[in-house]
Amino acid sequence: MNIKELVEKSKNKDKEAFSELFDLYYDKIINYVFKRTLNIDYAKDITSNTFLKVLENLHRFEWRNGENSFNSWIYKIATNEVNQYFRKQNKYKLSIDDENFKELGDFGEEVEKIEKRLENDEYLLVLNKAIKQLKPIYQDIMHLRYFEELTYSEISGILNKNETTVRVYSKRALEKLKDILKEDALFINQN
Amino acid sequence: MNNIEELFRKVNKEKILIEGHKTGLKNYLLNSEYFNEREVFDYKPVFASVFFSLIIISASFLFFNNDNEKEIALDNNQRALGVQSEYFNESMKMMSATSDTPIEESITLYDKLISKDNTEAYDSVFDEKEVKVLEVFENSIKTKYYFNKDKNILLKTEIINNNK
Repeated sequence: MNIKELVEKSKNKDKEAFSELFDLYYDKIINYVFKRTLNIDYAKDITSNTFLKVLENLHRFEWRNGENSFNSWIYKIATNEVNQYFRKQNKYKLSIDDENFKELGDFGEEVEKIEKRLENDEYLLVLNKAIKQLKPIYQDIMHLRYFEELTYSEISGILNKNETTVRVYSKRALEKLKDILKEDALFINQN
Repeated sequence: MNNIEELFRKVNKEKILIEGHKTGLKNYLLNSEYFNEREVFDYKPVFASVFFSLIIISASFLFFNNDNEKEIALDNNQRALGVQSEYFNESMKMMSATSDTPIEESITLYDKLISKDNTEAYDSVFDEKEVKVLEVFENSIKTKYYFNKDKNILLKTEIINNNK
């Protein structure tokens, strides 16, 4: 089944279709959110809230931009949640009020492994730190374009900006990023 | 600029995976109300429309039924008398009022008739009782109304066609 079929069947409350759709997007979303927050606990909560909102709003979803519509839509929800997290920081809360689900919270070994990997991923740490100094819209574009490798067209759908604006913002964001990284040894070594 | 893009490429592409969270979230979503809610038939609009329809039907029934009765009564009166007489209708009402039904209107038929220019009034005796008589002239037709002494009960009507 293609994405369109899975989405349409999920809209009609088909559990199997939604399960497949979830499997296709869970990894993408949690990795996107994790790269933006670098916090495994919040990455889990933001991903959970994203999928909860997907389910709550699925009946309203429309294929406005062809096949990529769903991809843009789900990233849009995730991006909004991430930005909400940045605004609220420690006050950001998981919307799922279910004790059984909350009790699943501790995934010791897996989390430890991810944290260790993060410590060794100096490129991600440096870039993430530098990107955080950019304007919020530039931050969104950098992550969506260079980490998630989405097209400008998809990004324009996610951010509600036209494609040309996204291209211009992307160029400006890269220039700013270059300035921020100028004094960074990692970047100098690259020159 | 290319160097910065190069930096992005050097980021570890290996995906993070928290299998427990993935399974837990998926189960939670699949067991949520979204997939388990049954389509509940909403009776409210149906009841409302049925109730409204009943009101319309009863109102129409009452309206047409009432109208038919009036038409039939008027038609019969006209046939019987051969003239269109509003007084006759009124007198019919008054006749029915001779039973236990109280007279609803404060202005009686007697008052209405006597106020007309073409009416003459006098006292007489009918069925060995003192009565009030009103003679109403309409074209060549004279209608005599016999009322009781208190002028609130119509005892008899007489139609006299002078052409005959």
